[in-house]
Amino acid sequence: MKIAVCVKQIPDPATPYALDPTTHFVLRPAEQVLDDTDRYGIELGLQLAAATGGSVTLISMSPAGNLQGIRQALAMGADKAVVVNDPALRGSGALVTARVLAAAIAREEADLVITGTESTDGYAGVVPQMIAELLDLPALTFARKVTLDGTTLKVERQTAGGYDEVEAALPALISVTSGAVEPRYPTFKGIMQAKQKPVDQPTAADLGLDPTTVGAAGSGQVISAVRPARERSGGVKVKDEGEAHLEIVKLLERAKVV
Amino acid sequence: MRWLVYAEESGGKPSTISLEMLTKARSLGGDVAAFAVGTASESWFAALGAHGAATVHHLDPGDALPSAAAAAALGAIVGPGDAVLFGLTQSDRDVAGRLAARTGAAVLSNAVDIQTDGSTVTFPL
Repeated sequence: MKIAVCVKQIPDPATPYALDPTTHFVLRPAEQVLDDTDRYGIELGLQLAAATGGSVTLISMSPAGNLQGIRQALAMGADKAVVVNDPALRGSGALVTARVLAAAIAREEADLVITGTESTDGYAGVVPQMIAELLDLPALTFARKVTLDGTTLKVERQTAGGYDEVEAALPALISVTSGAVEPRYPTFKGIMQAKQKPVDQPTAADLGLDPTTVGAAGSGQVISAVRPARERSGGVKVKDEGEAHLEIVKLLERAKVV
Repeated sequence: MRWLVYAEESGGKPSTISLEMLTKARSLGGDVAAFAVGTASESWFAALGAHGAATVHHLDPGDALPSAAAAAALGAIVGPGDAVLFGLTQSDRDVAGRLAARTGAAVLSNAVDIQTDGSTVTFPL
């Protein structure tokens, strides 16, 4: 089975993100790390590939930089990577991102597409379903448990009130939640091998996409201004003279959490 | 312009977020409609109407996940001048993604407020 796993290199979350003062886009340093939440999808892909004698191809879109984040993912055991690396893609919104990833996945003729639920630097959470729609695939999203029974995928899908049991025949797309599987740590051998694994770096045009339909111009949205998030205020102190619990319940009611 | 609010039911009642979105849409001016996904119920439709929906479109996806069917049905009724509002639940995000891919519309995510001049939707700072 051919498995495509979508992954993303992001600026190290431990350091504050810098924004371009004119475009308000995130500045992407040469050294980016693997989005930590992608490790669950990679792990699931590796497990399913091992069970079916298949392969795992990483699919990504970003300025490639020194490929540190992609090498981290390859070190876990993925076979190869496709990183769509093209300055024309700068400022692409979620839909353009999905079109680019879908075009790269289509070239790999994958039986199964695995993604996270959202990236840790974008948080839109809509790209997985967009890819599924563009590739005409069923999508089992927000999976907290995945099993493969022949060519049928069975998933426990996280919902607001619990979980749904859903299934789909391959080919299909699944998005996995953090904690769905236990990601492996790269071995020393894996880290050494990762340096030799093939990383294809096509442009948008190589994938058959018209350069005028990608990037900020093709995305139909503008970041007109940005400002820092409001700092949290000091909160409310409740002094307990025997009746504090009533005051706390009132505060919780006002915050609409009870 | 028209606001189309994606509205799911939970336990036969409208979800809280769907009523919040209807209330917001009503305050912004223009037409307000709900796209109701779940088992049909007159009291549910009436509640959507009471919160501002002049029209309720209804889809019962049965046992299937709603994303593909809801996106196809919404795709058939949206056009220029429409803005579709979704919450941030799993199904809301799924339908939003599918619908955007079908229609080519941009998704502005994680809004905490909305402004409009009638042709452009903005998140105010």
